[in-house]
Amino acid sequence: MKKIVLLLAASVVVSIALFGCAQPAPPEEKTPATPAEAEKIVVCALFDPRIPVLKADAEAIKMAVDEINAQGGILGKQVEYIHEDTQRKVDVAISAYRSAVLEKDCKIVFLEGVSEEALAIIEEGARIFPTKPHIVISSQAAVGTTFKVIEDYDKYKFYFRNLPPDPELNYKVPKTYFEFAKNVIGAKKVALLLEDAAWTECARKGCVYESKFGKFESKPMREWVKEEYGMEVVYEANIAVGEKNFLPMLEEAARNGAEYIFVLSSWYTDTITLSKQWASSGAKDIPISYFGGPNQWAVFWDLTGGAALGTFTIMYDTEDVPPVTTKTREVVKKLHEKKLSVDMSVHYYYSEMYRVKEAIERVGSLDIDAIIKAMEEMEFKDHTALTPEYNYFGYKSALFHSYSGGPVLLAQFQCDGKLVYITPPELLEEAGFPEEAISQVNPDAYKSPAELREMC
Amino acid sequence: MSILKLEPRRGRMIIHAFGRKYDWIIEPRYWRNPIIGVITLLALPLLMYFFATGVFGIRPVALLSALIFANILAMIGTPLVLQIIGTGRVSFGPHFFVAVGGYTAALLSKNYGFSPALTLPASFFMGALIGLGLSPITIISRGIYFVLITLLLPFILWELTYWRSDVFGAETGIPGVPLLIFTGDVVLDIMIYYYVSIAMVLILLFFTDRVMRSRYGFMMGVINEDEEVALSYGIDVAKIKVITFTLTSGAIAVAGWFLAHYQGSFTGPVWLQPSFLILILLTTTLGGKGAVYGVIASAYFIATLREVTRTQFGEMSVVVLFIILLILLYILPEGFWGLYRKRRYREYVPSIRIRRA
Repeated sequence: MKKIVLLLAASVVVSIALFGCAQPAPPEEKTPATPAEAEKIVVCALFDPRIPVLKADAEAIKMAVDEINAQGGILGKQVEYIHEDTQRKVDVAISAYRSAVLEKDCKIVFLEGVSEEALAIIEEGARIFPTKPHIVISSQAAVGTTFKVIEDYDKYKFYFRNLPPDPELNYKVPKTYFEFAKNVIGAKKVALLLEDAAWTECARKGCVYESKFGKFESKPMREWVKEEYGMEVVYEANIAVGEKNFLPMLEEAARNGAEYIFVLSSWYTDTITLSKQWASSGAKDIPISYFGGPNQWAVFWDLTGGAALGTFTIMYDTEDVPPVTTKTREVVKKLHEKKLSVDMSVHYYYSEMYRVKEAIERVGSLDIDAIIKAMEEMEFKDHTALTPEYNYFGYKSALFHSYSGGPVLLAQFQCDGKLVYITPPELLEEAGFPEEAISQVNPDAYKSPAELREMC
Repeated sequence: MSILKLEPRRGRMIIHAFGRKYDWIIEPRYWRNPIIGVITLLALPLLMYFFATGVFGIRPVALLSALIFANILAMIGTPLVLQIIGTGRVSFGPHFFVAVGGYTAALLSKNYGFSPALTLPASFFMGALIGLGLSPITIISRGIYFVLITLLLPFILWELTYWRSDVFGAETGIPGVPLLIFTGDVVLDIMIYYYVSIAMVLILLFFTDRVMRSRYGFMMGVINEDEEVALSYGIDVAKIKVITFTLTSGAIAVAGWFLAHYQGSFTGPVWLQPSFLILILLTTTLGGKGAVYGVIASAYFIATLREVTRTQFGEMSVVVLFIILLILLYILPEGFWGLYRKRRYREYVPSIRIRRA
């Protein structure tokens, strides 16, 4: 019996080993480098492929690399793409990062937008950078990394954030929602459901940051919503990370007479469950909107079983998305063909690969210091989701080496999950969106949840 | 009367010091295997550095980082085994004390400018102090109640880090913690971090070994065997449990200190996750029940396997890792140490029988 058990166990281990060996060889497994290979520009993507949004980010970078290689590479050199699995763990991410830069000679490292990883990587990078110059780009939200770059530029200048930092992310971006709530929905009373995480601290408590580029101050969301939009915050609650029971919050919002519910969510908030509970709660007639999370996918409709009817969210995941550049729709289409959904960050990572290309070509070499300078100074027009003003890295403010917050594309889930773009056009106009994009948004197409339930 | 007196005996040295008597085994056969073990651990990074690329295609820096993680697991696992023996209970909250040590080091460094040399004892004492405060649970609770209490501690701290994100930084943690080592050469730094961490493991192992060989260790073993029997022998069960839980909690907190000064930041939610607890418990269990030496072997095995599966199995890596560990749990009920003891059954090491660990 014991022999049989051992035999079984051994066969399982062998099968697993064989199964694993049958996978495509890791990209770094190479035969001795030929002169052409030695001239490759190595780009590493540190992402956990088990998380759909992170997998899509990594695929978007790979897609950009493939396109660039098909066009002849950068400065005539081919770009080699290496994926490193972080397992979304800090120690694994650091190990993978070290190996990527020190051993695989990565010049450009794209890191998944996880703040805890980014804050550890930026410290590790400061140690590695003097001997192995490279660039790190990550879409994490916490502002701490930006202030490191501002305060100790020479040490941390290699780090860029392809996302606005948290005060800006919690203020400028949500303004699109409140502008809409005030002028289109006509809401005067609002309920705020704010994710209880470090990246929302400015929205929950307000914040003041002093830096050598000046003071950066942000009031709590409840205050600026009232001051700037004249809306009274009748209910405010923090959503704990991993929360599953949203009904008490929704019922309280309804009880307090809220006319609009704004949810400051990220991937840590289960907006799928939230939508399902909203649709069957006393708050179901109150318009509700989401920020980050799976709600940014068109498939959110299916994930919620149609409970998302009437909700609205940031949206860049449809093949008819109002285009910022000619490539905006192409990116969505190509990733959809790979069965991947496209949230904002996917556009951000895809676009950054092209910014890197442009910066290297401007410099004419792989001089990292010069490339960093070029990235700070250049006006990048090929971003598939943001206009140059909002993706500029060189502002001498709390936005240094980061994106700026600004108007975003909002879409409402209507009958059968059809997404209707409802951002007020004047906001897009101010933000410099092209005419084609502006002509495709229509706030008047918005319908209240009750109206939609009757119609559909 | 001299303060120190050495009394050579066959195979051992009796040391009389300050009115007490200490037993020191000097017979070479007792030292052979520990010496081989220590030499192996010291030579491992150098061997890995020169030969790792040829094994599974893993690069040396990645593997060295994995070995440092192995040492962190061993730093936690070694005192945890002692705690399990001395209290007769399996704690599901060792990572809580890791976080206590990490936060103590990070907060004292950042807010008061403490150097790593000062934050080390501070982390130990904070861990021990909280351990002391919690130690009555080892007396008043057992079974599922003890498990639940210790399991809740990390969850409470996890929530606290979000509730007081202004202090603990929630998921962004506390950055700006001074590094333990900075030479300017990253690879050299990683190598030194390995040696610092292995030195810490060996120190912990040495103390644990001494304790287990002592009369105190014998009493801990009796408590683990049967508390009623221990009481009937006149052993002060409550006192031994409190002391054991307190000191081992402090020792586990030292791993948090190392993490904070190794990464230059400390982010509690990263280490308070159940996935980290599972790795710790697997380390202690696969090592062998109550086997401190086995903990080192299993920590190295698990950390290396994790890196190998990560690079070889893509998206399936985590599943493959845990399937392999699951199979090992099944086919090695006595852990790695059991394999060793099966071939070398003579008592070269403490012979406490652990039935409930």
